[in-house]
Amino acid sequence: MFRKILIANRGEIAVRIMRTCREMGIQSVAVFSKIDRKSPFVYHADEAYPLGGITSQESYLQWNKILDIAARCGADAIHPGYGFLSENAEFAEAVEKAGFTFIGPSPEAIRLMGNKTAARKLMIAHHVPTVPGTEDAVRDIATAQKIAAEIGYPVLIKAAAGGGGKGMRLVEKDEEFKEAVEGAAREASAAFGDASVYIEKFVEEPRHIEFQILSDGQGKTIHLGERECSIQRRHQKVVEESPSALLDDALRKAMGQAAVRAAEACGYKGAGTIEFLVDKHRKFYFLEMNTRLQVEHPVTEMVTGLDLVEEQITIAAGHGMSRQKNISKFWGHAVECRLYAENPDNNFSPSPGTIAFLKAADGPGIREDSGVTQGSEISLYYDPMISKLIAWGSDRQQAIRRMMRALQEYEISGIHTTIPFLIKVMGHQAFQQGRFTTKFIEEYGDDLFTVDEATAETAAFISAVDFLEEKKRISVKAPDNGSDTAFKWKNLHRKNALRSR
Amino acid sequence: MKIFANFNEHEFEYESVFKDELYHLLYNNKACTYDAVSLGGGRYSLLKDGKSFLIHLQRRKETYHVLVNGEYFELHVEDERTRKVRELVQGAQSGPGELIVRAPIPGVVIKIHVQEGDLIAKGEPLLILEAMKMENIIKADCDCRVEKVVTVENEAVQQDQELIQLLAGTVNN
Repeated sequence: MFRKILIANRGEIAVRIMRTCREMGIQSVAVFSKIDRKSPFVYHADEAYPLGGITSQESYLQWNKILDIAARCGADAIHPGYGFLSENAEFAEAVEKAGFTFIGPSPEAIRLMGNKTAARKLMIAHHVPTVPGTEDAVRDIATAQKIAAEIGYPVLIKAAAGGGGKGMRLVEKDEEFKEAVEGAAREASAAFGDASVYIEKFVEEPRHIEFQILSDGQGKTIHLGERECSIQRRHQKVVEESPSALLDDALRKAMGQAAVRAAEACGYKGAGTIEFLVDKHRKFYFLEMNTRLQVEHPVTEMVTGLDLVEEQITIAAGHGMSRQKNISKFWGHAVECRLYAENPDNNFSPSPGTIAFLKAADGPGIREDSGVTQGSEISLYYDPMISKLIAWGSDRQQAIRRMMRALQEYEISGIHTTIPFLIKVMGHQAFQQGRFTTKFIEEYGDDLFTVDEATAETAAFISAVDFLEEKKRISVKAPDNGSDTAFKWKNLHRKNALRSR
Repeated sequence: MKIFANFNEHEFEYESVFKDELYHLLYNNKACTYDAVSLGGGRYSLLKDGKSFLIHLQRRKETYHVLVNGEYFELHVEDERTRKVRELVQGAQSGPGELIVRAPIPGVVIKIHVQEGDLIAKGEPLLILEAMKMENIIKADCDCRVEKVVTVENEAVQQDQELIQLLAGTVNN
């Protein structure tokens, strides 16, 4: 087993990895930027070394510095966490070349799954369903229309050189195709100087459901069930849960088998995630593979009883994994809410600042994976996610109720957070009934951003009370100091008046 | 004396009365019994008509930042007298004039779209402010001329820091 692991990351995930290291009797090493000197992940580590720099570019992405530190402190392995260098094949390669173990898959697997087109071709070859569509760009309208008919409407036309929604068209019927493709091509050639387009099946009422897999690197791959991550804003997940309210045993089995095939296809090793879209006809399509630990891994841990970081470490050390069979039964239900330093009332704009007060929620069934503490400065240089709150319950209803209670109990001030918004998501009927898609926030926006009148009045009331108290403080103070000074002035004035006579 | 607490477009009006050596707050002409005690660090326990609330409150001048029941409110509070004075001052200052564009959030100025002397139409981008991996486009609130660009590209700016000075209503001349 490893003796010392360097964690090439920051914030909550660095703390998360350290916790398992400590439980396993492994020394942990933190590396940190100038800004993170006071962060919990630095003082919770057994050893910590400065990377210098402020931006990610200057600090957490400086892999030569990280490898230098690893060599100097005598680490055996490097855990990349998520984000930063975690899905960088060249970094994984450099780690191995420098003689350390990279806690993750091989550079080849990272590279393969990081290339969308290559990954898609590989999935098709291994009978993992992908969103039907053209693999190469189409220039000729007649060919494009024939392909669209084969795929089946509705289809999405995407400009090959497109981006940001430009050159994109949704086509419901064959009759609309010609005009739409011409429009998309025109828009694309005006914006990007390239008129070729891709045709893709439009996934109706999509839900984002992903499968956690584990591969021991010696030929055995299992799945640990799904996580539903459909509640998203700006294509970023905000609420995740396991199991999904949508899946039944049959669909779970089919998707789980596809996930295992996908991991086997790229020769995977360690913990990974296969992301799928599931449409309203309960058909599922491969989206992509994340070749690292996911942000939302705790919900899987809660319902399987496994420690995924521990599994990653034992697999990387060549000791295999703790179970050999797919998960077919979950223990209860778990929900995770991501707490972001953002203002939900202002289009989720970032809210950097200092956490003036913090008292996290606890009580039955609550777990928190946090990277901050009272007094922490939330800088504008890194991701605004500050913590993850996880609630476990014997069923979905109880897990949601507990999450709601914990969010209401959570005390944090000095910065804006997404807590008020999350409370409304938990309380929303559609969420509670499990009827939602990735468009949840767009669809129910009006319900999610309304304010309770009675609560607003309470806020107004306490402000008025404080305003009045402040006035009293001032008016009590004023005569004390004022009269004394006024008296002196009066005297002086009188003396001056006397002299001038 | 009347006290007004404004949240978004909504106004709550209170009447403060000094009676029996004590201040009382009336809302909709009804007095309520309350007890607010400070727990320190901006936390208050409020008992209002028997209901119990834990409140986080921060005051910056007339603006109150309040957290209650998991909801966040930014309120503006003033009394009758202050309101009258403010309305008088505002009335005297109306008309075209200098506008100062300030940073709505701390961030890094990554691009400045305008130069001194440029005529800008309402809604045109002035500059891009990046914070936490997100780009925020700061646009002109009205038709105007750029008087002075106070910031430079790649500058890290604080919240409310002055970025650009504009002169309003000068495009259609």
